Amino acid sequence: MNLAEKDNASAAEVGQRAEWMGKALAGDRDAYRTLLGDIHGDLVGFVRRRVHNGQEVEDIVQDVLLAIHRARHTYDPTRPFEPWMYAIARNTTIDHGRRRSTRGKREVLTEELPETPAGSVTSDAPLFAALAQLPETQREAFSMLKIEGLSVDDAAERAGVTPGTLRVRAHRAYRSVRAFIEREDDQGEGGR
Amino acid sequence: MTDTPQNDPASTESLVADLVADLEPVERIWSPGTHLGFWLAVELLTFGLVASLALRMDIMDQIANPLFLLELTLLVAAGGLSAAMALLSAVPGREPSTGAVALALALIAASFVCLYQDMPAAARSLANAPRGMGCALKTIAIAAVPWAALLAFARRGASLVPVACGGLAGLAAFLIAAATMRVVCPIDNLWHLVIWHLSPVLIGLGASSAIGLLLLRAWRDD
Repeated sequence: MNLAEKDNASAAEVGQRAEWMGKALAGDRDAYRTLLGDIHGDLVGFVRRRVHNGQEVEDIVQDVLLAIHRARHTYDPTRPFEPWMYAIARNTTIDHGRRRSTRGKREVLTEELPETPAGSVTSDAPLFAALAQLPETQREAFSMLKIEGLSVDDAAERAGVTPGTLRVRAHRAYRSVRAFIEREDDQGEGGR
Repeated sequence: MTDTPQNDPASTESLVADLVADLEPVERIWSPGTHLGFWLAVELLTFGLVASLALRMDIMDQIANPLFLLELTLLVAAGGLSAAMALLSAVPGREPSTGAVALALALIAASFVCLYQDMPAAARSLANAPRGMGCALKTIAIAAVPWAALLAFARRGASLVPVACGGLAGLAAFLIAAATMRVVCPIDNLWHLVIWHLSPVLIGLGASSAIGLLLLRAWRDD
């Protein structure tokens, strides 16, 4: 944690966050909601200092929140919360940079797209193209909720996971689909 | 998808609501210290089993040799330190420092110096080095269970750098296996030990890094 980050979180806040997280580990949803709301601003500031593309900041912050959620069983409430949180934030930001770099290289390789056969273009084509690049579990969650129109509970039962897990998978799918379609739109406008 | 944050399923507000809805009481993982204690117990059992089956005939003479004892102690210390670092690196914010990694490497180097010093000149010749595929296979066999146990313990955590965590787990298990092999194999030849006892450590390190990359990132993925 650097000095700026330390300034952002007073000793009292740090202790308070450890307490909220301790309660969250016991299943206290109010404490968890308060904690996630409280750390959001610090995370945005942390990521913004490392990523210069403003549009990506919120995406990365969401990934950090997801990672915090998935790693919460490793948090020890007797230890300060901040080093744990910022380690996750730092690593997630680095991962995002790596993925972006890899994606950039892939996009250069596929710059010259094959011609689309006549009659194959429909308004759903970008959506299906976006779904095709999702991991299977995310595609399944998206399809069940948004295409088949199942409820979260029904979809979770069919997938054999908890409703929360299904929601998180769907959330990741929404973000990936939206990012994919936005990229496609940008490339389309760039090509005109 | 609409643009209002409350209704946009891709918004941070929506994500927070989903995460809160997903929250259930969660069982915290054991501390790295507790995991390390269990792992050392696994190592001790493995050593006990191996020692009961195949100790070298001159073991009592070797134990009286301070350089031999120091070499083993340094290898075991490096292995234990690597195991502790692997377990710490499975907990965000507790990743081992560069100094700790440097200390483990220094212990390994010091162990090698002891090994070298302990060898008579004739035993430093590559030409005299007996083959020992059996030794390499035994090293792997001795390392297997503690290695699997350490990876399993690390997998309960949330490693942010799975390659390093996996590599440290492999290093730990194979270093102690190499130390164990010193009380099993009666061949005191530098090149035999380097090629057939210590190169499996490097192979274990590489394989474990690759396995770590696949196995220890699962906590992030659906």
